[in-house]
Amino acid sequence: MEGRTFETPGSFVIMAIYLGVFGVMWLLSFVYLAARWAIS
Amino acid sequence: MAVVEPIPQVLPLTKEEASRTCPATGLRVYAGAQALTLANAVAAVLALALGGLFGGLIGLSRSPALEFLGPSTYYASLTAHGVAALVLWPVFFEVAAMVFASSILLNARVYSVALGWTSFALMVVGALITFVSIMSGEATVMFTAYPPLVATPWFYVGYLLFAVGALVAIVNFCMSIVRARVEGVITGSLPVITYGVACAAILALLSILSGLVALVPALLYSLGWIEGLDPIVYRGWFWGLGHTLQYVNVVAMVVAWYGIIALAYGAGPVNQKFTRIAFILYLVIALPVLGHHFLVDPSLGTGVKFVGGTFMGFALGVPSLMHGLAVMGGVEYGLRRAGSTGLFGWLKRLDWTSYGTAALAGSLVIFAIGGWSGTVETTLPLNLVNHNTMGVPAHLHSTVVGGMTVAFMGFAYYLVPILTGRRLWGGKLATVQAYAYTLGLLVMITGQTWAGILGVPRRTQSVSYGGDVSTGWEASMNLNAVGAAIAAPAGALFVVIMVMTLVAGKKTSVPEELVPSGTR
Repeated sequence: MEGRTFETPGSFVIMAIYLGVFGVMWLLSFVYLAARWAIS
Repeated sequence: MAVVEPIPQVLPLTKEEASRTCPATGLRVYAGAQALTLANAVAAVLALALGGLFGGLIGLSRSPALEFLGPSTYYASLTAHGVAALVLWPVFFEVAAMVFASSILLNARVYSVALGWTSFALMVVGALITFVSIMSGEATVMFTAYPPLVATPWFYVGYLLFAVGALVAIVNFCMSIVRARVEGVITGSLPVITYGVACAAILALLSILSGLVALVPALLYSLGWIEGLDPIVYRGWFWGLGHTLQYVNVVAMVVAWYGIIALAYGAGPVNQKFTRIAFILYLVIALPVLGHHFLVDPSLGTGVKFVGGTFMGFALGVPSLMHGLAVMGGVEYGLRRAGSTGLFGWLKRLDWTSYGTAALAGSLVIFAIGGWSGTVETTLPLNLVNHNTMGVPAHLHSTVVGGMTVAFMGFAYYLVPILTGRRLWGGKLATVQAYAYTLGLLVMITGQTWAGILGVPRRTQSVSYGGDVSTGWEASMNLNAVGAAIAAPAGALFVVIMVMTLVAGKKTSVPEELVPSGTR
């Protein structure tokens, strides 16, 4: 029996990059808040 | 010789509605459905023209280098922009989509053409009353009309008439599907596009009911029949309308994505169940997320804010991510079956000079950015910093303007030729328009996001406060104006292409001319 093939790898990679960038930016936003709080 | 008498002809009890078969899609298009869809689409385009005109004026005037609108004109323009671009344009287009999805897409008739025209007339009259009241200078309350701001009663009367018209359209939509089922025109599951529009219609129903609870007391207050309105209570019901309506827009945008990929690439979702679950998730999650409009208000406890605003806001990203994946995956799946290889070989097969590809890519990219900023808006600590700054319009211009409007524009480029049998006017101008509008919005959103981080207030006529304060905000707001200067003419070009297609588009029955392929 033929195994299942991964039909849409390109779309998954694009989505993974999108979520990865989002995650980094979301964390950086808290770093920004901390910096603002520290210098205020 | 026997004479055989001719069999008496049995006349049908009701007059058979005229119909034709669309040469591009093979769908049966009834005259009533076609006229109603077109009328609502034309009204939508005219509303967008007004919304874009006032949006361009505001965007340019908020540049400290220009600031040509005085306070009264500025707030009237801002109100007109919000009402036309955020309410009238999307709702008229969604009613067009409702008629299309419940009749033409199902090869069925509209349940009641008369009801359809009643709905259209109510919406047009309501829109005109609201707009005239804004232009008279008696309703400079912005589209939210938060009390204690109060407008002329006509402003609320217009809003309410428009809402009732939309309500009638929803009833007609539901009844059209029921009749198509009863008559056996459709069997089994609804097509994904109709299913999505049905979800949008359910959200629209909730939205309108909440809006009535907010706006009827506001009308009574405006008439002087009640002494006051609790601003917090009003805000709660208003955002039951306002935010839920934006998710009607989001669901309709997703439907437009599926419409574009079906027509331009002959593609559809790889897994129908996955797509339908994502639509249902919008219904479940969209309503509680209005809590994020109250993150800085004293009315709700912190726990409620975290659950309703922050966590549900995060959860609302899930169905959008699912649809983004389903749309891209559907295109990729189809093109791989047609011979594309490698991780991104399918992207090379797309015709990037096609207006379908331009609009779909523009909508996906800008909406994706809106997803990021939306998470900032719903995260309680970040919202406390970002609240009422230009970061808010940066978010809504990514979602409602960038995502939704570009998708609607792209879908209209296919829908109008199908409905009229006329080739889209202007050749590659539509592609230029979609890219230019996307570019303008990206520049504008960059300027607004930058301004938001600096703390520039939204809904303020003068960033320099008449030159009294040296704020250092000028560069970001000038960049915002540059974006508006690109996006506004590109938006106007969309209106020109639509109008010219209706009046001067070449009549054709060649499928490839009506619905050109988006692949190479």
